[in-house]
This record gives sequence, C-alpha cells and structure tokens, in this order.
Amino acid sequence: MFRIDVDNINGKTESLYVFGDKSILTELEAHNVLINYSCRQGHCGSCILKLVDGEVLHQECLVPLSEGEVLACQSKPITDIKITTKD
Amino acid sequence: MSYSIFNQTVSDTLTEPMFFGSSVNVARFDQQKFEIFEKLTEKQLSFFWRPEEIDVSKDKIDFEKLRPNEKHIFISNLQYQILLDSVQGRSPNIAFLPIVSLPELENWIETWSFSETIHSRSYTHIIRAIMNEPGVVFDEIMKTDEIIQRATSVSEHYDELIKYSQAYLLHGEGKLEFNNEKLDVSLYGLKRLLYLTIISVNILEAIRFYVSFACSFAFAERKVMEGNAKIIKLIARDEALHLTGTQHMINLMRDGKDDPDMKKISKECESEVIQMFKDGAKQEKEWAEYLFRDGSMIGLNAEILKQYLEYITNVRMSALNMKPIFKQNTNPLPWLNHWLDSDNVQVAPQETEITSYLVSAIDNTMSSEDEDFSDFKL
Repeated sequence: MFRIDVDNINGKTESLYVFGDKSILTELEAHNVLINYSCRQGHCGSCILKLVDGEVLHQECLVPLSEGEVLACQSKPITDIKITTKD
Repeated sequence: MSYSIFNQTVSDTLTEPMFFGSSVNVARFDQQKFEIFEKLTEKQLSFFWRPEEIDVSKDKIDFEKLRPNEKHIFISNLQYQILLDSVQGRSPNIAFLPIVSLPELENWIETWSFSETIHSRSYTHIIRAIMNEPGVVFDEIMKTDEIIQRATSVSEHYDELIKYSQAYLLHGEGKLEFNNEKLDVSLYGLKRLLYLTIISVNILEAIRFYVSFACSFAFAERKVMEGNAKIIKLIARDEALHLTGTQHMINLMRDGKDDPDMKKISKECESEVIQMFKDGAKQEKEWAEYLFRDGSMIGLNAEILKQYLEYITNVRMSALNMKPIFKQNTNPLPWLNHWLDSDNVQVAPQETEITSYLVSAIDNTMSSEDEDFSDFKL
C-alpha cells in the first residue's frame, strides 16, 4: 500500500492509504477530499495538483504541466506521496 | 462585407482573436495561437470509432424484459440524446464557422461537430437493434411536448447568434428590418451573443449530456442494456473533449487572453450566465420528473438524478472559475465515475471490444532527455 499525504487541500490535511490501482482523483473522492475536476480524461486541467514528494505514474494529457504538477485524474501513486493544491 | 470562403486579406493568425477577426483563409496548422485546439483535434481524430463496431444484439433481449416504466426511461432518455446530438451535429458548424478567425479553432469546430454526427448514427444503430419498428421512436420525438421544450432551450442561443451574424456578414453593423423584425446589429452585441451561446453549449454538453449518461449507465450497472452503455461510454469520452473545448474558449475569453471585448462582456454577463446555469438545472429537473413519472428504477430515481444534476452543475461552474450555486458538493452517484474515467473498464479482449485503443496516435514531442544519446551504443 502507498500513503498519500494530503497537505491542506480544501481545508483537509490527512493521510490516506491506497493500493495505487486508482487515480489520485478517485482516491481523494473516496476519502471525501474534494478538489475541482471536470473531464476526468486529462484534457481540461481542472484537477491540477502539486506533487510535493514521491512519484506517480502519469498517463498522457493535453494540459501543459509545470515541474512538480500532476493531474489528479491521470496519475496513480507508485511510492508514498505528498500532494497539495497548485497555488 | 459578405462572407468569403477564402479571405484574400493577409492576416497574422497568431494575433487574431478566436472569433470576429479576419475570416480564415489558408488552413495551416504549423503554428497556433492556442495550441489546445490543435491538441483537441488530434485527440478527437485518435478517438475515431464507428457504432457498428459495438455489438448491441443482446440489448434486444434485455429491452423486452424491462418493466414499462423502465422502457419509458430508456427510450425517452435516448430520444433526448438524439435531440441533443441532432443540434450539436450541425450547429457548431453553422453558428461558429462563419465567424471564426483561427485555423486551429476552425479545424477543431469541424472535427467536434463531425464526431457528434457519429453519435447520432449510433442512436439509430441502437434503436434498430432493440425495436421492431425503429421509425416510431424517431417519429415520437417531434410529437412529445417535453422534448420539444428541451429543443427550444438548447437551440435558442444558437438561433439568435446565427440570425444576427448572418445579418452582420451580409449588411454589417446598423439597424435592419428583416421579416417584419427590427434588428439592431452591432459587433459588440454579436460578441455578447457569441459568449452566451458558448455558455449555453457548455451547459448542453457538460451538464445536460451527463444527466442523460447517468440514466444510460444506471441500466448497465444492473447488467442490462450493456451494448448501449458501451456506445454511451464512447460518446461520453468524446463529450469530455467537447466540454473541454467550450471550457477553454470561455476561460480564454474571461481571462482576457483573447479579445479584450470578451473579458468586458464576460463581466457584464456574469449574472445572466449564473441565471442560465440555474435555468438549465431547472429544465433538467423537470425532465427528470418526466423520465420517472411512471416509477423509478433500481439504482436511480428522480430525486437522486436531481441531486446529481446539482452536483455536476457545481463542478462545471467551478471549472469556469465561478462560484457553485447549489449546496450539493458530493457526488450522489459515485459509481458513475467508473464509467466516465479514462481507463476504468478493464476487460479480457476476447470478451468485448476494447474502447481505450487510440487510432494513429503518435507523440512527436522531444524533451532534452530524449536528445541525449551519449550512452547509446551500436
């Protein structure tokens, strides 16, 4: 299992334990950590998060990402990770 | 002033606004002002599919076993989807192409609208498979008041924009009398109509469609009408692209990254836009009542569908950097995301058609790491 440390996302700071088989967006929703999203397919960029620590497996996306940014709908953790909001 | 199919004025497409600049001439894609539309087109082309690839023969057996109220929900929902794609299969071309100024956006609009025609063809494919007389379903659409009301609400902004832009392209700005109707045509007024039309299309594709997808997938969650759900999953994959297109157009306008007039207009129209989202939600709630008038089905009823409608309206408004208007901030249909996520359906290839393959997809981008061949040996 991997640990997702949520750092002040929508007022929540907590640790989630996941198997890494689902997207970060799905895991956050399952644990009631709500973030913006729209297309769920990697096109729109609504669910950009900042990856503070750790590594993710990232599927292709249409959105230009800066260093350290991930799309929650297109990435799955492959180590323990720490994430926070973009800004 | 009238529209020219090949405008012979030389213009720089890197500085033109998305709409109402110089009309397009050379279809060139070597450079783009807004690369996202080129990417959307490439993605849409890679998604190409044909309805005949999906086997819907088992759905006929399932349909026969549905209860009468469930048949009403299934057929009415399909009729609504037929209406929405009939509108979307032609209107982006008719409304937006005569006023577009960027080649990459023109190409996206054409590709977008074409993909909607595939959706329309797929509805005929489904209905042929499940009904002995498919014509009845189509004939009923124009005779059902509830659907005609929907048609009015999804097409009224398009119709206004088309009327005024046709008048503008023929006569330019000024006061006109046309079919006993007085039109006051101004470029600023047209831009305002354009902005509201794109909002209305976003409501259509990002909210109205998703409510209908919820109904389609609710059947498949019960392991019935699964062929239909496979087709709707492909349609939903396309619609996620389309809603991203209108979302990007709106955000570029609102952020002032396109035409400065559009930023001003977006501020002036803020309350009108909020009202449009409220009206759209109200109309969809009325539609939910109509769908479930004879009773609910396992997993879905009018009340839950209305909660989902409020939730998805909030999601879409947040994506446009607008404040949500409803209290519903959690998804009452969490299973729906299983159908909407990009790679969630994993099945053995021999059991079903794999829908996640891309056609002719290549990636030309090179990073600095890709260019380092220092450790390469023959």
